[in-house]
Amino acid sequence: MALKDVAPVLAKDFVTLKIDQDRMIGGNDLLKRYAKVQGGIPWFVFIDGDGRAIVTSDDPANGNIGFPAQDSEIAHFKRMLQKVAKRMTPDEIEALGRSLVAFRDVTLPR
Amino acid sequence: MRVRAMGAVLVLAFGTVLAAQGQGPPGSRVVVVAADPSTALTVWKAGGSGFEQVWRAAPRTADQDFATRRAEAFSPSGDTAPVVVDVDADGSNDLVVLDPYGITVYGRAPEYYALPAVHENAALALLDADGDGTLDFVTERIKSGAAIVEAFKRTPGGLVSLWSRQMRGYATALVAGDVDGDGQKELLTAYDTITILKRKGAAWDVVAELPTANAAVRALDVADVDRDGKNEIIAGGSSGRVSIFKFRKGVGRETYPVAWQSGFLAAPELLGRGGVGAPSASVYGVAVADVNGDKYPEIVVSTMEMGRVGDKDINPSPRLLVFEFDGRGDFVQKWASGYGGQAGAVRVVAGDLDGDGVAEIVAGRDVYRRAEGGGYQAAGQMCQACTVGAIGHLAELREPAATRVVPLYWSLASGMIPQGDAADVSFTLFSPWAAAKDVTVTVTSPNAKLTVANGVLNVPAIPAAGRVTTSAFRVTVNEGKEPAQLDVEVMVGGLRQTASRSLYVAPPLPAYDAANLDARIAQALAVAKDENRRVLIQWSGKADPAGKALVQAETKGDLAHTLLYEYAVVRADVTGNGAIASRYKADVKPASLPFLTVLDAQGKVIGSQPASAFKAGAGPAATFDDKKVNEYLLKFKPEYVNAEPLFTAALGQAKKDQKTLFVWFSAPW
Repeated sequence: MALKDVAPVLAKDFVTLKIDQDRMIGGNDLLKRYAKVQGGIPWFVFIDGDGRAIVTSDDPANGNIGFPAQDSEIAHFKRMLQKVAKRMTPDEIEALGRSLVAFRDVTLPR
Repeated sequence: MRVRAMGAVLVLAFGTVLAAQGQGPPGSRVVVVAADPSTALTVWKAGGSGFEQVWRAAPRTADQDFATRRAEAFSPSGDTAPVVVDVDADGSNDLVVLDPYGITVYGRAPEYYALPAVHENAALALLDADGDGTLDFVTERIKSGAAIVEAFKRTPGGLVSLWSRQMRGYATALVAGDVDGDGQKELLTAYDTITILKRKGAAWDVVAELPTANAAVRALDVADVDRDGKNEIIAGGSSGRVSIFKFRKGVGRETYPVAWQSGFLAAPELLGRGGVGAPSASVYGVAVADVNGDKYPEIVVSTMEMGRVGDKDINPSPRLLVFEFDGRGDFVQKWASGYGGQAGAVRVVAGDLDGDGVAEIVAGRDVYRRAEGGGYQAAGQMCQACTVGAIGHLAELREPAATRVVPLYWSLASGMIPQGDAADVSFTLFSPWAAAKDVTVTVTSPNAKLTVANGVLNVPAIPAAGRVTTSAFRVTVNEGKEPAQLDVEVMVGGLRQTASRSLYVAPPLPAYDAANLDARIAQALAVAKDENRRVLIQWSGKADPAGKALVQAETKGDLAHTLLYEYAVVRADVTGNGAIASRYKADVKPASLPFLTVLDAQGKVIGSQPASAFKAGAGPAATFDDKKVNEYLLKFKPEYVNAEPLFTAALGQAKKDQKTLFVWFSAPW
């Protein structure tokens, strides 16, 4: 999320907040407030200005996608972005998907 | 396939669906076999107004690790199905159960076979894998991250591998059945596709790979559901739909097109939950049996669904549906249960439990029977936590008395040794069924990746259902990032068993680096600022044995945790970095190394300490007391911040900017 090609795109539509559930007081309580099913971490949620969850990293078909690495996980992440995007363009969402594929290909064994 | 279970035994256990067929052997009776969390295998029969337990395999809970692994394997997603079949052709069915360590045959002549490697997720089928007219075991297991289908012949000395083949993805289902009508059973495996393997001489070849809409096919069966005398393939999974594939033989071409597919099986009233996404539904089981008494088979489906009905949340809940063939090519949903009953996914089986000629439906612990006025009604319950099952005739079940020893686990908790390092390792041996005497374990490496010293381990005795830890052997990792393998041979009572264990080679221990030190410290400070950590600069030299000993101590226990949670660590080779060391007031004379400098996130020195204060022993072979190092570093642990005000502030910012709040939950590990 902090990569130079990623952060400015996300910033168009998002305020980002990283919660360390082990090292922040009340971090785990906050997680429980939004994650109805305990599917492990990383877990993330897009929240509207009134505090309502719009969409989460829980893929209805496969459960929590965690850090999106597999093709189906990246597809769910792109669907999440499409659901909330106001300023981000479809091309930028595709580019974010490609950056995840590139990140996966250099970090994960295939 | 006509499904009748007259005077039959119903076996309910853990996995795919087996329907009882035909008349059972003399002396067999109608029972249900079920799995429960204590890993016991229990047999139930219909009687009185409900079901009575009539047999129970002795639980192996004396060993918790064994019990836990078995329990996981017997979960609905574990796909470890028991099979009811006459393995030894003695005229009486046996119950064959796969667990993470081996295969147990419960019957008149019980046996236990250790598998070559412990596995996490597996499936079992029985068929004649080598064409000699006898039944062989076929397993699909995860090995080094890949799904391997492997056929084994049973011999008095254990299992002998006939062939093996790597499949796509992970094993989610394994079924044997004649799907092309030639009278010979094919082998079907599933992941996101369904792969059909067919015996051609001694080899098994992939003859078809059927695409599905599922990320994971969880339910797979072979049965004649359209009354044409030929079997179809029935499959369901994460797509929430059931599909039927039918064999077609064309000119020079054989295909398996989709003959029918259900709609999305979530209940029509089910909505997305809390405004999040769509309702969720997955298929976990299918069973084929005549459950309505019309003399033709129906398809029974178990789903797992989640969402909201009105203002009520539906947590992941199982539901049952019954489909009837309309005689023209369509399958019509005739009944669906409500939500409720037991939590979690369940498999489904169906067979005639009470001998009235109409099959009952067994879904987990619950039994359903055709209702007088149409539909189906609850007819009773069995064990509280059983989830999945199978059906067949059973007459007599006995437990194996054979002496088999399982190399249960080793003392290397992480399963990893850094490349270039060595470790002393011991095995814990488990004797599941009987006491074992004079056990010899021989550990070898099949290649040059590892070197094993003192690999012959003698254990005088292991009590029945007990475990004993061997003496240690030394493993040295010579090369490679890929998993390395150790071969283990266990000799006991004249029986030779073999197994293998994968060992993952960890990256080499972090080295002290002289290059770009200012930049690396700046990067660590950025992490410390972003994540509320401290920075530890650890000064030493590339060739300093004390520096390496300190790094080794940092891989242990609480110290490893403290570094992972509270610090961004920079390991600095002092060579050419004297000026930077002076800036941080670090004493980097050779006698003071390794030396520790602790910085706050702003770069201010808040701790300076020669590591020699934490040494255990003296001389060049000295090690470090990780507990003392940990005590020192914990003194500088930063205060944890409160998440709630951060969340409130970020939410306010998002509202003000008309943006969405993206909250990412994680942990240092």
